[in-house]
Amino acid sequence: MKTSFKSHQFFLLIFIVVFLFLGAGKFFDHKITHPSPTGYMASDAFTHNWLAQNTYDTNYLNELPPYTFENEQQYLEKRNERKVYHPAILPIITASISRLTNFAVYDINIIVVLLLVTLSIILNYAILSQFNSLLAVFSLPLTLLFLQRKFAISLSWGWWDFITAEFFLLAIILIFTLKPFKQRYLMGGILITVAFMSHGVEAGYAALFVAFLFLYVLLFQRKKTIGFLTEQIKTAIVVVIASAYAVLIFLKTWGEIGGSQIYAMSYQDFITNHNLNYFIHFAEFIDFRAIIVIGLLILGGLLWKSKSRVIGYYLFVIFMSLTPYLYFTAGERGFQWRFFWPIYLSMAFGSVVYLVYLFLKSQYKNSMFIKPALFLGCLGIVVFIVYPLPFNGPGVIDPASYEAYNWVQNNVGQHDDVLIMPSLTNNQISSLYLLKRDLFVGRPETSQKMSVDNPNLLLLQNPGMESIYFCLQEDCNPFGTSQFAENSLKQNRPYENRSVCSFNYIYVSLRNNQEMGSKNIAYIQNLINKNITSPVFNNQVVVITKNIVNQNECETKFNS
Amino acid sequence: MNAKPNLTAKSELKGLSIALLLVFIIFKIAFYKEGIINVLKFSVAFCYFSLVPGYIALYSIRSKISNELRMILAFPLGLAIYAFITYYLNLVVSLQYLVFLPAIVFIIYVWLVKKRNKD
Repeated sequence: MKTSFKSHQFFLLIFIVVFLFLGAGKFFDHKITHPSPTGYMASDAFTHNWLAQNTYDTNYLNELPPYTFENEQQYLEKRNERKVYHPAILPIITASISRLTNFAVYDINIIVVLLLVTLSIILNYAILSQFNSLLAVFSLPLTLLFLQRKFAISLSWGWWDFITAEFFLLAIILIFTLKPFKQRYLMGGILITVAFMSHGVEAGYAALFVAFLFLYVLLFQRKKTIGFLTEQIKTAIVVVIASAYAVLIFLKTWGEIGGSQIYAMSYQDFITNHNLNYFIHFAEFIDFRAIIVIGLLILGGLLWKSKSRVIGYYLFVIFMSLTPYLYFTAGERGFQWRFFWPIYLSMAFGSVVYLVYLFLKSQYKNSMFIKPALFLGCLGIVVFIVYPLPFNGPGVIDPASYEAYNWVQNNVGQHDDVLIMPSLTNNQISSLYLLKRDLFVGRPETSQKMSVDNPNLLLLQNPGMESIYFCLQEDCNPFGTSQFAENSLKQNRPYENRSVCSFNYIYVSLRNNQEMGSKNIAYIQNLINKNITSPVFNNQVVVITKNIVNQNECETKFNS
Repeated sequence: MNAKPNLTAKSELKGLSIALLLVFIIFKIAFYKEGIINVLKFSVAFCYFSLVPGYIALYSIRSKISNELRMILAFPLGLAIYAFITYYLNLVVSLQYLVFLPAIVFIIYVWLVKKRNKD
């Protein structure tokens, strides 16, 4: 018998339109193409975007861009001596779609992530439909909470690899809650591998889900135990073969520096030691908290009675939601799971509404309108609660600043060094990666010690793309000892003191606080007056100057 | 004899076309400020890397799952297959050629479906 939920797909369609419409409005002002990165509200988003952009620019995931080298010869010799260790799946998808459409990588990247969230909701719906498609329909409205409050920052602040992997995790769960079919182990194996390559920890969650499914099989389908175990062993073999290369790179890199991201951490540890401004508490569910708790109990009862395979999923969701309190979670990454709470816990909301539906149906003979009325009613209420979802503007980089980025990309030599004068926005350092040049970024400390009497600038930060995303071949080699942790520390060169005369260009953002801004202008004016540097770009938001004398002459003029 | 294979290949193409049309309409509503050509380009490209390879991969189990479920699963499965193969092939082959992978697979798939039904 075919698994079907035909009768309710119309509701699903309505929901998808509403969710995407609201999401596209909030993050992208209902446009696909923008003059500058739009919806990017924090540094992490740019961190992920850079790899997609570089894959698009170089056509190879593992190739370093020219501007990470001092000269052309070094670039030609060494551009392939590293491998990417940053999660690669989203960059591949993004760069491929950009290549085909010719749209900006920054646009495709974040829109694809919103689509993955939408598809995750649909996958969750399909999983719940294996038990009861009407309950699945009633679950949909609560997922709209994803678009507001702290849930939404997973998109705008850049928890993109997490979202990508969760999307694949839900596909894994769906495929294993279906009735068995021949090639399922193969499809499951590829999905687990890709989930791992997207964001390692989700492969562990997939294993956890399989463990709960096994528990279900032991409790309700004992005769199928052998078949289940055989299939899972076959899946594991596929995963081991397919992911061997990626796992080795992971172990040699993240495995070496993992720290708090990997080790087990309790709720209390997390609260005490980490920045809380993005952390999700149950209170984010506002008035839905009681409904969720009651709904989970109701659903547990319904599932137990029906002996549905969805019990495995239900237990998994309960366990994942509680583990931080049980001192069993994959470090910081374990807490990210809460960003997807509106999707996972929507099953509880669906159960309560489903119970209301059963009650109303028993009360009224003409029950034809109860379903659409309940669904649309719930959808309307949640839309009312989450609304308004205002478009918050482009984000960290405005169109005028991006105009300067484009100027740098088109006019500054590939191997030139660019000084970024101290600015408030420099703390979102990854947003500068799109300048696509070797950058030396001024910090508040640089500004404090900056003087017109001394050309030396202190504590500049050089992002060092080659070590943020790539590992040296010998460090990622499966055999031998990895020096990755030591090398990445060395190459990251977090702070560097350099003379202003050693740079080819100086980039000054005029969007700054007054103190830093006036100091920057006085400093640059002094350089211009001494004929050291000359303005080459000015759009009232960014000024770019070019150093017009060699280093020795510059030092002499500076001290004159 | 000839009508049946054409029908099967046609029905597969019809399924994909309906899904693509649906994706386009939904995207056009969500991104209503964007021009039709751009929305169409984006819809086709997104489906090309996700829906198409996934739909093909699920061909062999089409009798076991509903068409709607096949569509839903096709997106993650297609993206997973494309990204997985590209990750490894990109060690030696440029991305500018790898983007044609779904097209090649699609052509082979249509040919195989026709051939299988003829046999």
